[in-house]
Amino acid sequence: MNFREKGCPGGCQPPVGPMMPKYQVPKPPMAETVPGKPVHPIPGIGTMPPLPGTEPLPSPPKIGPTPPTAVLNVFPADEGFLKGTMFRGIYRPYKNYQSRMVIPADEKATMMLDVDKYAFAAHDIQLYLDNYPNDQEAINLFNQYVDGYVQAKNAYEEKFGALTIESDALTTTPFNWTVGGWPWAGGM
Amino acid sequence: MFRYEKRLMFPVKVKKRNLKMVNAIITQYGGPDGELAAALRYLNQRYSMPDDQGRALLTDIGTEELSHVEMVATMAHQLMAGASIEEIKAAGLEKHYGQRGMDLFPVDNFGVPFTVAYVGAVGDPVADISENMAAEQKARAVYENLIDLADDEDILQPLLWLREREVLHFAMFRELYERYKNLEK
Repeated sequence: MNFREKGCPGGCQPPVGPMMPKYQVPKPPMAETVPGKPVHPIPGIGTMPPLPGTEPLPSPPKIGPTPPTAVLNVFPADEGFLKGTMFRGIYRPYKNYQSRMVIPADEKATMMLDVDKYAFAAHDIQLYLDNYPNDQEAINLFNQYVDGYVQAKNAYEEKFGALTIESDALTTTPFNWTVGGWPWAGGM
Repeated sequence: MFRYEKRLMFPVKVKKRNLKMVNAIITQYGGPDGELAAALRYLNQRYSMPDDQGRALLTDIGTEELSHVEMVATMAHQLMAGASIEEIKAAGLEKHYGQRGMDLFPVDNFGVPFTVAYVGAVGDPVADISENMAAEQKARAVYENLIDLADDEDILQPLLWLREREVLHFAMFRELYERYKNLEK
């Protein structure tokens, strides 16, 4: 019996096994070899396994699209935070409305603003990196903003109490999480 | 998992009560193009994304939308906090007060309760991501309507900021869409 004939032996069955994903994502290419690296002329040597502990770490395979080649065109963190976007090329203001930050009323609000702006800047670069994970310039920028955020958050928590549950401010009585105001209640 | 950080993503400090504005803004809490619908839409769709970058983008934007829910709810809460019965009656909020008191409730501008029917999901990344692009544009348009109605800087600034986030999210989804549209089935 020829399987290419019309009909199937034993009756036609739907394909067995798990459903395949609808869209096929191309497999990441193999780790790149270093261009220009000489090939060892003696047969066999080039394939010798390296001594234990001396294996070079494989470079991670590149996944995702190549990032745009131009330099990232971003606002400074405070300006981006105020406008609601870090990316100059994407910013589209509405009519003639101006983004205006109310001058922080006190030290607490000033220090909170620092936490807000660095967290925002890091988050916006993070969204970009989700699409372009190979952009080292953006990764460096992301890490700068995360550092700024961690410093600002620690400074705030030392003076005004915990923002997150692993804060150093949560060792004293009463439990600091319950005091110091909540964001919607005007206390922060 | 999700963990709470005790701050808003962008500061909301409304000093002037405005009950009529609550009625308008509430649609971005519980309306069809509101933040709650957006958060559920993206966090629900992420399970069928074909690669890790798509899963990352939907997780990260979906999470951000939860922070927007909190901002919109804070605006609505602060706009009506401390209102007298006379003010509630004058703004036509008797029905809300009668049923919910001073609690917030996710409804649209017509009082229609939030429904998960607002969550677009068909298990096809190209269709889902274009749904999200449309959703971001609709949310941007609604924020512009609300900005037109606003007459208080304390409300205007968070609205302008939230509107700009819709513009940014649209651009991010478009990048993902451009990559997914050519994937072979």
